[in-house]
Amino acid sequence: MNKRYLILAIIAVAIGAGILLLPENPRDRELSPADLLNAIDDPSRFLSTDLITDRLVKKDPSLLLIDVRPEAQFKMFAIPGAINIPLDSLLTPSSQAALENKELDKVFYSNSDVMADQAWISAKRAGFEAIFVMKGGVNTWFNTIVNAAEPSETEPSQAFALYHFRKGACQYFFGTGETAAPVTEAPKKPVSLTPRPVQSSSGGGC
Amino acid sequence: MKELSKTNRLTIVVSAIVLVFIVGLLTLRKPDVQYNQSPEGMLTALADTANYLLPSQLKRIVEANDGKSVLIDVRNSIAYGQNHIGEAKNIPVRELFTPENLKFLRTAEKNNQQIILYGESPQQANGAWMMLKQTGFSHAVMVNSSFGALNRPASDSIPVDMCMLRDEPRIDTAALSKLRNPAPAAEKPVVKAAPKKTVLPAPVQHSSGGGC
Repeated sequence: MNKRYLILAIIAVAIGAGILLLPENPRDRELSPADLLNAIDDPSRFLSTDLITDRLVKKDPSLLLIDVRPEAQFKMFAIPGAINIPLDSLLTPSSQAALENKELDKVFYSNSDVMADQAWISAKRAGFEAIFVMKGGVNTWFNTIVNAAEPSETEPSQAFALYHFRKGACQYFFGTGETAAPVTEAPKKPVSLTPRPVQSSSGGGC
Repeated sequence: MKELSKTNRLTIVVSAIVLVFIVGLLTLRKPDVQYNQSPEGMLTALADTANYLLPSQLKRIVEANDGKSVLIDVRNSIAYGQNHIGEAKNIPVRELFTPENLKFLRTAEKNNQQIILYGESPQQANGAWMMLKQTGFSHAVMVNSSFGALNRPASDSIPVDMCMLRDEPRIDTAALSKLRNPAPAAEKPVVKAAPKKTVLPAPVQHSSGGGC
């Protein structure tokens, strides 16, 4: 009789050990369709361009900007400090390592909203946390920061504060534009130009 | 006899446990909606332009009205009540998976009808579209435009903002280069100033002309 109990106990322990040794399924973290739909309906993932700029200027170490556009567009112009993960390689192991970091706020951006949101939905389904989308994308970022519009005099003081913040941020990213280096090239041309008129005039005179 | 009753008791316990497992498995409710496309497969579908309709294509489909497609308005019911396109059915994003909506969508899928989604913005339509595409509605497409652009009267000649439709970069490269290399702009006066000095020798020409 005792032997039978022993056999049952051994079977139970063996099953337990087998479950323990099962490989971890990456799909286990996957959000269910119903949860994902709720997440999509929640607009709290959208961060404004001004908020992102503020965090960039303050050198916030917990911010990771991810450019999901193709590499060619990223090379042409990207927000300073962003890394490039094209949308089609979002779920490759190397990209997942970047998304895995729980300490960082991962912010996707593209040219407008759609592609960044597609990246967000894909990453959300895969179970990544602390992910956001920059509302308006790089087009809005460029037009509010680099081409900041000066408010008219009747607008409230907040509008002016925002304008000066944007102007300051633009100078922070791209400098004020007073560089002395290219001036060294300039004098060469006038120097080579000056002898010519003198030569021709003297030739015609005598 | 004693031995036999003990064996019976053990058999009863074991069969009871097995029964519990079977009942548990049988009553395990499968969720209504399940993914049938892998995340990687979805990324490939995102890059496929056949999944995005342009406003002109939608207009043709609405005008044809041949029953090969169903139009879904994913905006909220108030916005839908004010105005909507053609015979669109209103399914707000959050109500996408309610039983009656699922029934409607599955009927359309079974009849091989194209499910066309549009929203306030392409971004809003995209969320609902991706959910459908991932959960087995292979005929779902989204309209890559905003409701405002779709709903314009035909007489309106102002062109649709193409940039928003195709998610293209709209960066003022002139402003950017001015910011990055501001020196040429500041330096130009210097170049102009230098030739002024070279212009000064011009009187030499004048004087030489007088000499001959």
